[in-house]
Amino acid sequence: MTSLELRNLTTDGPGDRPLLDDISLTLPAGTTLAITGPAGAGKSRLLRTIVGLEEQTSGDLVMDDIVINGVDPRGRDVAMVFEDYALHPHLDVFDNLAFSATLRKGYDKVALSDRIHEVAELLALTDVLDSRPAVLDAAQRQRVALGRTLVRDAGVYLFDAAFSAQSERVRTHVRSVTAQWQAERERTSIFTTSSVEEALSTADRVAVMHQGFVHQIGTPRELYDRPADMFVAGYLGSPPMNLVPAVPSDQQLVMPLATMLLDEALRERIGDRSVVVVGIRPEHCHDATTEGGTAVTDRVEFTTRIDDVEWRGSSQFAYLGYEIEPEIEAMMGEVEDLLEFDLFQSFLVAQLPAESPLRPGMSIRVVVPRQKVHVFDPETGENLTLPR
Amino acid sequence: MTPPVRSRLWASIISFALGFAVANYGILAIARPDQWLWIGVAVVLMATGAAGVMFADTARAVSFWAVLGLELIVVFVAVPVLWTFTVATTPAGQTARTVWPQDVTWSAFDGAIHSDILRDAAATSFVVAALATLIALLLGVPAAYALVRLPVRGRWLVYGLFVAALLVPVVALVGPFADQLIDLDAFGSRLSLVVPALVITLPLATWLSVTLFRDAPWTLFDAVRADGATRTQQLRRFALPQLAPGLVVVALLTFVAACNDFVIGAGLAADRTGLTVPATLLLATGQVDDASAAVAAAGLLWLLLPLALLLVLPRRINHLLGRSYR
Repeated sequence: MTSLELRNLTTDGPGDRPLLDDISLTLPAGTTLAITGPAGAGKSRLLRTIVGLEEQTSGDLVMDDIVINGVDPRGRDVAMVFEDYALHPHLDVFDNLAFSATLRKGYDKVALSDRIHEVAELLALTDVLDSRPAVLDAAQRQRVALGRTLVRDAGVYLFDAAFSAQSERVRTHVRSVTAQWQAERERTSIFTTSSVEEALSTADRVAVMHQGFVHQIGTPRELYDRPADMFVAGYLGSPPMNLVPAVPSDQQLVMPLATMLLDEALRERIGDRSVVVVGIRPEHCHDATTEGGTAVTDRVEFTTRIDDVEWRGSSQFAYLGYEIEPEIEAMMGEVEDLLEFDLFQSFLVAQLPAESPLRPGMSIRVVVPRQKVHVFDPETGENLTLPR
Repeated sequence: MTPPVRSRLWASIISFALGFAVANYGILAIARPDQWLWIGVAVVLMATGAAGVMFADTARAVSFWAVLGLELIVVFVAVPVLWTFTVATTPAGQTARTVWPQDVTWSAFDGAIHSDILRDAAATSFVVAALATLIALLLGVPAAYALVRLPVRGRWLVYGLFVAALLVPVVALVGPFADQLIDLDAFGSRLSLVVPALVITLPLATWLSVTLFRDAPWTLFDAVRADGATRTQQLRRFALPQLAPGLVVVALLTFVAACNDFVIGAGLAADRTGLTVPATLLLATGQVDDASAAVAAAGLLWLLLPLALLLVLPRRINHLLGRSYR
């Protein structure tokens, strides 16, 4: 049980943009944090800095209220699962699992062996304990790397994309076994993942990171319901939030497909911006003719033609295309270039009940609850819907 | 006819024609017992041609161009070695006239092993090559580590210079070296050869170590550090199992290369005792009885060293010389 705090952690990069950009976060003892973001976000760099393999340019790392900037990895006592497993090729699985424990004097051989067998049982490695890593497949090797960290007693645990090589069916199980093992021992852990679902389901709190910068930290629910900015909104959720340009005009907001009435507070926050971005989650779109649609009172609604339908068993996705004016499209392109991330599309996705008889070409009336609609500043990305 | 079939048929035709030509020349122009060698080669080549025709239109994964090439390489390597062997085993007073050995005597090998001159030369070669290798490793291995691991500006330029140094004609450097040694009054001593030998060993050791370090599992090193290993544990539990075997091979290859150098030994040794083995074989032949047989025998014995190395560590050597297809 160790707490971890990062204070304004910054690492300069080769170019103008820092690799880690002023990261501050607090991890109380025994809690878990998931860091999610696209590839190249700086997640691995952050973990390597915490473990002591890389040095930050400025800022402090604090463990249990002690600044550990100058402490070497041995003194920090942080366990880490590496993205490419980093197994010892000349040792069998058992010795790989035991490796970090045997580096410190005075370990109890019997207790260690018991623990290794327990972990191997959890991770389905019992049958391969005597094998070398070369004969294992990628998923097994990753579980060995994971197991090595679970076996070890450390202050803080870091998992760098530690489930990525597991097959779809096994991944959930491995993840929950790991989370449970960590929770039982009240261990402080950080997971990184590029999968949003994994981040939302594994940890107490989630940080969304991109370009070395942490956009928002909060509970999964907070991030989903109240994204701090456009990147968080567009990155979380599957399919991601629809982000549509809109032009404020007097009392209302004109979008390509619909028009939304603005209340006083939101209109004040939009101020004199000429263009904003409206965010609508696919799952908040309802077919007006169904029960879900008629139940919505304070609503934004529009009628359009369905371009395409994807049926997914539990639900179906309707793709509703629209046109944007070229100058607005150019502006949105600039925003994407700056963020190095595809946020905008020229269609809106609506997630509708699987029973609705939808066909491409037919016309549909879509209803969205007005309080579920987010409005963002296109330049700063700030969420204007949130009360300040 | 698909292109692979056509290509196989061409390989068959060429190897058959080659075999046919060899057979005719051998039968018409070569006397026994070498005639049997020619016929043997011809039979193998013609059989390859026949097999190529038989398997031309099958899905077997075999290239008959590669088979033909392999056969030619074997012929061109094996025949000179066989000739050397024949010369070495020809009894004193006779001259070898056929490639196939007729009267085999081992006295030349015995003479080579017991010859004082060759023994002195072997000792010189060993001492010089071992010292030059040791110094080269002490300097080259840290240099290679720095080239691969440390973010130093212009390090690949430095690496390029090392590779360029591998290609420098050593002959060009021998004259200046000799002048220097004479000025220092060290010309002719065994140890004076060590410094010039570094011209060969230092770039080679560095170049081979760069390959070794470039493919070393550095994330594993990171993991070992993150696990909390001390300096000694890092050496014992990462460097020893992961790097030491490769470094041993680097040392052996460098040693063999240093042993094989002829130019430095021949150009910088004042008298016969300071000559290295390759230099002795060429320059000191007049002082050995039955020179050609003794030189051939010594050469064959000398060949055992690299051959043993290659037989014991083929995969690592392949890897370090950049011929790994793993």
